[in-house]
Amino acid sequence: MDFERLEQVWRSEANRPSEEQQARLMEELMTMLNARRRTEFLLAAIPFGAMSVFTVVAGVAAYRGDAFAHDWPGLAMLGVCWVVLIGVFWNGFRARRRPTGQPMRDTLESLLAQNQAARRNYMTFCALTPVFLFPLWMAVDHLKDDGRMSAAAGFQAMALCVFALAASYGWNTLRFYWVMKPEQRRLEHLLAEYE
Amino acid sequence: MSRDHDNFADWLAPHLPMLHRTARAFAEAPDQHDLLQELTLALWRARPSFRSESATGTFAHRVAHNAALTWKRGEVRRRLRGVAVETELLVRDTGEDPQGPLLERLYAAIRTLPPVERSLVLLSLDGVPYAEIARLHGLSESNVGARLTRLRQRLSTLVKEDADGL
Repeated sequence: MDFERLEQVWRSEANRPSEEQQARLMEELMTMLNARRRTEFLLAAIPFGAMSVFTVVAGVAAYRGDAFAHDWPGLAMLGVCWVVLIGVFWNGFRARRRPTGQPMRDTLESLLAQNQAARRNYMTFCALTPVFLFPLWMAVDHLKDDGRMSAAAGFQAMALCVFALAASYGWNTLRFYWVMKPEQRRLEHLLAEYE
Repeated sequence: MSRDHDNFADWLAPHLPMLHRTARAFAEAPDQHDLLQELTLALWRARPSFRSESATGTFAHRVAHNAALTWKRGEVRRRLRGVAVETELLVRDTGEDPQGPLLERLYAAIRTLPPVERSLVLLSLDGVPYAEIARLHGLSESNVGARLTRLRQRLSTLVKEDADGL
């Protein structure tokens, strides 16, 4: 088959959506974009809304004069949460404005670098989980020794923390083997095509 | 619809046929609509970074091909949607047009190529110059030329074999 013939077919009207199809596609795509925009707005509004509620509650407590003296660590944690939340959204906003002028090969390389960073984070998390459990056990034991926590409450606190860590560990492990590793292989395979 | 949305629709309209061809070349029929949506979304997200010093066509090609190369088919999402209507939206009814079956064979042949080669062929068929293809992919111009010469022969053979029923 002559390649010029294939180029002719490629340039023919048969390879263009009709005017009617284009109009319908455009309408459908714009509806999809609207829906995505609404979803993105809602996803952003939920954490901001929840944080605002917590802040108002903390603010009212502080105004009544019974928060700063006793619960200042809680207020500090709230401040840290705000900083993290704003940081996450600011990074997302900056990523949208980032120039997309780099060659596709560089895009694939940076995606692979991101994937490697995510896998390293998982390894760090796995290494730190047992390290975190030891001081947690020490803290609960100390509270029990001081008589500030009963044995049953200490057991419940430990059980809750272990459950949360196990759930987080399980979720991250699933992501590691089902998402990150296949993605790494796919990106390496794509980059190998450039060699 | 907002003014921003209308502006984007106007900006997108001339690139829709290119997105349509890219979706058909990178995905099998049931997934083409899903990919077309992803390509549109990628352009919508990337548009704020568009600098008027580069041609809009080049920018659209770059974003669309980047998105197509890194796209993963979503089996679950596809099952949740009605596929028949979407396929109808994507494939033009060629009726008695003799070009139709040959075009389908060409797309099928392109889809058998590895993703990067698929992108190179597609850009070449869309009339993008070698120098621009080289810049888009981060390859040398001579490398692009050599690859495309080989790919054209391969595509011709694939389409011919398909026509012969091999």
